[in-house]
Amino acid sequence: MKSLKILVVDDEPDIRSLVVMILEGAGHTVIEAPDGQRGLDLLASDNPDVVLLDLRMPVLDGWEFMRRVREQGLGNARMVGVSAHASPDSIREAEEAGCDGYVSKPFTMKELLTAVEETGDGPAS
Amino acid sequence: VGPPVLKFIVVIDVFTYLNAAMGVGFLSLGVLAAWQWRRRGDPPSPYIALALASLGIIVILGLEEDIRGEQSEVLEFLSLVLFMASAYFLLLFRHSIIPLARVWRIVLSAGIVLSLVVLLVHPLPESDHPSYTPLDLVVLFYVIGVWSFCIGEPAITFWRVSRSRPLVQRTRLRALSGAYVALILIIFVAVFASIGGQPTAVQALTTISVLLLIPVLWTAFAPPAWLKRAWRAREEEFRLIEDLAVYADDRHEIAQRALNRAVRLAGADGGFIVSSEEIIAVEGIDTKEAQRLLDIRSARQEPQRWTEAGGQNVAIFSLRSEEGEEAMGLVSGRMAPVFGSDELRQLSQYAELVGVALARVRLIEVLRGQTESNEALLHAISDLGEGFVVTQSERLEYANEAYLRMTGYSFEELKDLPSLLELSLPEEREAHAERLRRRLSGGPVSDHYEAGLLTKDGRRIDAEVAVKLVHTPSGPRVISLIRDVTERKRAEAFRSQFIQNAAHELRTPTTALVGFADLLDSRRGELDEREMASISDALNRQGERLRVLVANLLDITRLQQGRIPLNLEAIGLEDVLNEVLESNPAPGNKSVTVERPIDMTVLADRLRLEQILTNLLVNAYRYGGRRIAVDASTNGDGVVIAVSDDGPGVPGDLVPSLFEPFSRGEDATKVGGSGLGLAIVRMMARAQGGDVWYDGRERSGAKFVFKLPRA
Repeated sequence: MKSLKILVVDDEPDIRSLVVMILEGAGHTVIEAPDGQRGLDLLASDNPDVVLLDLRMPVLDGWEFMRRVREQGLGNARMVGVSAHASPDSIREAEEAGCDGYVSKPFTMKELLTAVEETGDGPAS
Repeated sequence: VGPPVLKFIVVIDVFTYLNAAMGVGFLSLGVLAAWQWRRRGDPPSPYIALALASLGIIVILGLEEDIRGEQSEVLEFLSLVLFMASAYFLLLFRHSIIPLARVWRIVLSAGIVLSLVVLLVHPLPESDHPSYTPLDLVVLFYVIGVWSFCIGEPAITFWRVSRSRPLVQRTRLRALSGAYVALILIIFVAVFASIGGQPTAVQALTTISVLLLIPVLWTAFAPPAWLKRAWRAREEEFRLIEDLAVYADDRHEIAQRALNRAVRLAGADGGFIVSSEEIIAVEGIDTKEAQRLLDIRSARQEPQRWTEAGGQNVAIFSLRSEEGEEAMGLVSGRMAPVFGSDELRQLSQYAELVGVALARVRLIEVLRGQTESNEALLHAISDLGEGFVVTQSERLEYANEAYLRMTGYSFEELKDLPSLLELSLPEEREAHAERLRRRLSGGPVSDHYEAGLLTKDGRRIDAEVAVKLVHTPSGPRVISLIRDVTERKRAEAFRSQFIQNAAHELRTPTTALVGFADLLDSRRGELDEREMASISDALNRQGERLRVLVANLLDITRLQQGRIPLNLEAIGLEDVLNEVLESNPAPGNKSVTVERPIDMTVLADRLRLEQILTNLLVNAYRYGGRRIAVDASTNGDGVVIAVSDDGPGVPGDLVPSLFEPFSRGEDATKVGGSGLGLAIVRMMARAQGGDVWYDGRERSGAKFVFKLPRA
C-alpha cells in the first residue's frame, strides 16, 4: 500500500490530532488545516492525494470548501467527507457535492483508514 | 165572547186563519225552545218554552170563540190562568239569567195570584163594546199592569245590563230585551185593536204586525246556530290578529291571548289554560279557582261541561297535545248563552288550534335551547383557541372569534371573499379545491388534514383541520375546526433541532474518546512519551466537555419542564458576587471591576443566582475584552445587574438567537463551551421572575444585563 499525502481539515484540535496520529501511524504524510480557508491554501500549495474534510465547521465549512475546489479547479485530490450524520441521505448528499469517500463520527481507526486508503487507491476524479 | 183582556189575541172573527197561524207560531216557538233546551242543552231554559207555549195555547183556545161566537167559561178561565202563567214564566226566565231579589219575586208572584183571584171574583163584562164600570177598569188595569211589569222590567234590565257586557253577551241580552218589548207591543196592539170597534183593515193590520213580531221572539228565545255565529262574527274578525299573535314564541303570551279570544268568542266570563300541570293563563278567575275546576274535572270522569251550584257553566276542552295534560277551561256567567253544542264544537276546534300553537312554541323552546347550547359550545371552542368555520361551497357563512383572531381578518372581510381558499397557501389551493369538490359530491376524502393559512398581514400559520359535511335545509355546508399548530410545529422543529445539535455536540467528544481509546489499544507500546501526554490531555479535555454538556442538557431539560426546585429568598448581591469571583477568578490577562455600591438585595434562588453570575463572567473571560465590569442599579421593583467588557462584542447577526440553545459564535470551538450556557441563564432568570438580555447599544464591547425582583 502506497503512502498518501493527506490534508486534514477539521476545526476541532483534538480530533485533528487524533486523525493525524492514526494516519501517520499507518505511514501516511499528513498536513493539517483548522478551517476551510486554510485548507484551500494548503490544497493549492501542497497538492495532497486525499483531503479528509470535516463537513461541519465554522468560517468555511466542508460544503463550501468543495464548491470552491470545483469552481477554482484546485487540483485533483480525492475527498473524504467527515460528518456526524451517518444516514444514507447525508452520504448521498456528500457524494453529490463531490466526496469520493465518507466516514461518520464517531469512527474507529479501521473505519478511518479504510475510507481514506480506499479513496486514495481509486482513480483520480 | 171572552173577557176583553183576551180580545187582544182573538182579534176578529174574519181573521180566524190569521189567529190560527199566530197560535201555531207561538206554540212552535215554545216547542222549538223546548227542543233546543233538551237537544242542545242551551240554557234558554224551559221557562221560555213554557211561556211561549202558554201564549200559543191561549190563541188556539181563542179560536173557539172565532168559530162558535162564544167561549166556554172553563176555557175562558184557563186562558186567563195561562196568560198570567206566561208572565210568571217570563219572569222566572229573567230570574234564571239575572237573579231577582227574593222580596220582588214574592211580591210579583203574589200579584199574579191575586190578579187571578180578582178575575175569578169579579169577571169582566164579556162584550165587544163593554161599558166598563170604574171597578171594571181598576181590575183591568191591575191585571194588565201586573203582566206588563213582569215583562217590562226584564226588558229594561236586560238592556241596562247588556251595556257593560262583552260583545256576544251584549247582543244576546239585547235580543232578549227586544223580544220582551215585542211581547208587550203585541199585548198593547191587541188590546188597542179589541177596544172600540176598529175598522176591519186596522184589525187585519194589527194581526199581521203581531205575526211579523213572532220571528223577533224566535231569534231571541231560541236562536239558531247560524244566528249565534252571526253574533260571534265580529269576534271572529279578530281571528287574523289572534292567529298572528299565535306566532308569538312565548308560551304564556300565546296561552293568554288564546284564552282571551276563547272567552270573547264564547261570551264567557273567564277561563284558564293548563299545560303540563301548570296553569299558564287565567282570565276572569284566579289560579286557585282554575285548579279547583280542574280537580272537579279529574274527580268526575271527563265531563266536558257541568253547571256549578251557583249557576255558573263550566266547560273544559282538551288541547291536542302529546305532552302531559293540556286543557282550556271556560267559565260562563248566567247571562252568557254559552256552551250549546255548536259552541262546544267550535270551541273544541279552537282548543285544538291552541294546542298546536303551544306545541309549536314548545318546539321553538327546544330549538332555542339547542341553539343556546350550540352557541355555548362555539364559545367554548373559541375560548380554547380553536377556529370554527361554516362554509357554503367556498364562501364563508360563519366564523368564530378564534378563527378571526387567528387570521387577523374581520368577519365582514372574510364573508366578502369570493372564496375562502384565498387564505390557503397558493401551492395548496388546487388540492383544497379538489378536496372540496370530492367532499360535496360524496366521494372518499379525508376529514382530517394539515394545511397552511395566510393571515391578513401575510404571516403563515400551520393548521390542523378537521372537516365535516352537514346537510342543512338550505343545502350542504362544510364545517371546519381549525387548530393553529404553528407554535407546536415550531416547538417540534426546535426540539428536533435541539436533539440534532445535542447529538452533534456529543459526537466530537465521543469521537475523540472512542478514537483515542482505539489508538491506545492498537498501538500500545508504540506511542512515545509526547504522544501519550497529548492523548491524555485530549482525553481529559473531551471527557470534561462531555461532562459539562451532559450536565447542561439535564439542566435545560429540567428547566423546560419546570422541574428545578427554586428556593427564593432575599439575597445580598454583593455577597454572592464576591463568592462567585472568588471561585472564578479572572484569568491572568483580564481584570474584573465591580462598580460600587452594589449592596442591593434581590429575591432569588442562591444557587441559581450564582450559576447565572458565573456563566456571564466566564463568557466574558472567554469571549470578551481585557477589562470586565460588573454594576447594579435598582429599576422599579427590580434590580438590574450588568456584566460588560471592552471586547469585540457579539456580532449583530448572532444577537437575535443569542439565548437559543447551541447558538455560538464561529470561534467558540477555540474556547470550548457547550453552546447551552446562555440558554440556561435565560431560563433560570425567567424561572426566578426575572429576565436576561443583551444590550447591543454599546458602541464597543459586550453588555449582558439581567434583572431580578427586588427583595
